[in-house]
Amino acid sequence: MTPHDSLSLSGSLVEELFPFHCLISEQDNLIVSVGTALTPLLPQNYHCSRFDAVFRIVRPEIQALTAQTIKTHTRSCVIIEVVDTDIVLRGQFVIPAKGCLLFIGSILVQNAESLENIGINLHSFAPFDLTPDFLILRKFREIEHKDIKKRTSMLAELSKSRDELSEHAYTDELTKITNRRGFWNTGTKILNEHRSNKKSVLILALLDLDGFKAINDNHGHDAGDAILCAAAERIRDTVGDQGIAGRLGGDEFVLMLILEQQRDIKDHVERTLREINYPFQHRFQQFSIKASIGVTEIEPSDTLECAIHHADIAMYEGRKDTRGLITWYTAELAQRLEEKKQLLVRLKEAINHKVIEPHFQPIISFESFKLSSFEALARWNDPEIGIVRPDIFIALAEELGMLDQLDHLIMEKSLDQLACWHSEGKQYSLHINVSAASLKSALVDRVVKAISDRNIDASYLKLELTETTILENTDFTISVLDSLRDNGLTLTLDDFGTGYSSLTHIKDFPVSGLKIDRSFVADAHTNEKSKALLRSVATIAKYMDLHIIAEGIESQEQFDFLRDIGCHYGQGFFIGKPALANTCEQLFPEQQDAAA
Amino acid sequence: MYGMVNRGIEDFVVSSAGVDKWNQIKKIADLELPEFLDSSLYNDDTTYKLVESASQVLNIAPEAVLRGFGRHWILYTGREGWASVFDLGGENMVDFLNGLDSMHARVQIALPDAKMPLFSVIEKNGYLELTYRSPRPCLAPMVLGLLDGLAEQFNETWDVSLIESDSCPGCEIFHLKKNNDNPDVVTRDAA
Repeated sequence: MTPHDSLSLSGSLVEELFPFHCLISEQDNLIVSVGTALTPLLPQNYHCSRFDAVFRIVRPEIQALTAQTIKTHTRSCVIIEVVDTDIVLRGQFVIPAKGCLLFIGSILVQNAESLENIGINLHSFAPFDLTPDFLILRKFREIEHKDIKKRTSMLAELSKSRDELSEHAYTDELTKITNRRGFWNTGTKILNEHRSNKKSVLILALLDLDGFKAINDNHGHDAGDAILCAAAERIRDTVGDQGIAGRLGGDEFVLMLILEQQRDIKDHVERTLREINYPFQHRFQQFSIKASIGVTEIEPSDTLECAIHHADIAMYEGRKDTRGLITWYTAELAQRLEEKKQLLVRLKEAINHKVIEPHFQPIISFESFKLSSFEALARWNDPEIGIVRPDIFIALAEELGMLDQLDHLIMEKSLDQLACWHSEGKQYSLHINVSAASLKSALVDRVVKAISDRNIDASYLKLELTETTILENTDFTISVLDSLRDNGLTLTLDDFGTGYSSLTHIKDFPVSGLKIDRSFVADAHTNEKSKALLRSVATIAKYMDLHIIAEGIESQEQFDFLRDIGCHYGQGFFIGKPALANTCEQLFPEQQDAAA
Repeated sequence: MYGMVNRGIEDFVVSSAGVDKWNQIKKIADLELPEFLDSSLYNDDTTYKLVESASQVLNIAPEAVLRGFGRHWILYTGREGWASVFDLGGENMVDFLNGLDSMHARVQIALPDAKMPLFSVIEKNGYLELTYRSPRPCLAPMVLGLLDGLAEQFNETWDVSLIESDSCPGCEIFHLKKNNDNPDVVTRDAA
């Protein structure tokens, strides 16, 4: 006997535990009693009806539905339905006592709605019965499915807006091609892929539209924007699917091309240039615009930043001389630039440490053949690099923004020398060059103070200015030049004949002399046209009361010709090379004449 | 809290004050999510923040927001497809309240992470005493609203009051007295 054998369930306990039970008499298959929860679900006359008249067993399959046959399935899960209704029960049959069969189970429902329809609620179920829990679980699963759909749609939305944002972030608003950020992003990816695929050639080109600012200024931003858009479209089309094109800003575009063969590069870049150079049309107007392109072939070790820098250098170098060209970044260019960089460093130091010296080139009078004056010329002999040509270091000083400082340095040193000569009784005059960088209102005070500090009479100082210099800001320049003249200084128009050579300048600017450029002097004795030109200049100068200096005289023939046509002064290697103060006057002992 | 609660608050605000107010509330509560998901768990702070912000935007006390929301919750859950489950609770207020704890015990299977409150009901002389315990503080006004909503749902009239009592630390006690003035009321007793 087990402890369970002493258990017996009372009718009320069966009722409480199994509210959906059904007790059947084994002898006649009649329904003896039904649980309170099941009662309202059965037909009214169910009591004392045969079990098979009210119920049908769905599972397991039983042919003859009698208590005897059912008894063989007491260990099976049984599904029964109430005849002529949708009500289904699930449970098992047990034999609680001799002569009877008991069905215990619960209602089997597909959803909570069906339960509601048959008038059953939570109180109908035994507390341990999990049927309502399944209903709640089912409901929650529906909600989870709904949430999954919602989440998917939210993610799709988020992804869409993220794509739109990145599209926006990486696209140039005006031209709709890749912007700087987008180019950086895609360019880096292409570059990384290129590192592992060395069969192809990768090039980067920077393209700048020359003269674009003028279009914006003269025709308005609408025209400018239209040209930028059209240019972007052409660039994008030439790139096609062989790379990417982007706008870095302003009128600067960038291209990265992946090409199969080295020989394709030149053709491709030239085609891009041709496309851009083709005139643009905007509102019945045609605009011709050129592009300058700097190109570099990207090495696997290059970073994108480095490639852009190389292309930028190439473009910048190309534009210095002529616009509208393709310039390639080469090892030679890199070397040249490195040297230039070093030179700039040295030059900066040289100017700061005042190691650039004036050399003095004699100017003689054609009338007396005697020494008249000197022109102070800057000369730089670097202890490490050696002698650097003045045209090179003057251009570099301008690039460094130190040209004014260089002018000042030469003026101070030259005037020291002039004061020294004057103290020795040598009343030479001195020609000093003034660059555009120095031509500002402070120049007058600076010059006046410099000669005053050294007790030099202003008439001994001749300032030489080129036409280009004085043309930069005409009204202001005239006021400065007037002021210099009013302080007793004389002004000479340098390199006459090479610039605009406008007679108006001679008339408008307070100059007292002209220095004829060496290019005219070079063939003065052989070229008839040069001869005619020089004669004309001499005639004009004569009638305008201007003195003429001819520079670059290198032969007796030139000397003779220039003297014969009425030039007043001469300068050149034939007469004397520029030299340090202690040697420059040795050729002209006691030959000093009236100042040029 | 499960997202369905926050969605219920949203529905309450939108239906009573409009979608613009709801957007303002979300902004003040610093919520970046486009919408709540019913079956996801959110930090309780989110719900409290929503109530605070709603109080600010709607210019009503937080307790009033909670009570309004509690009442709305009954309507909202019904509309959102929970009516059938809700109906399992019973056909009248008394049955429903008596079965509420069992209902929560069953719901725990579906929402294993839910911190369900405890409700116990004692029928006293002429009134019901409902004791409510929750791990979450300050939600008693919401229970008042839930009781309002339930009464409406069952078309019954009850006077509900929150009793100040020190006898049960950590719980709130409500007294519910049925008002039989309403001739349409059908209750278990009456039935």
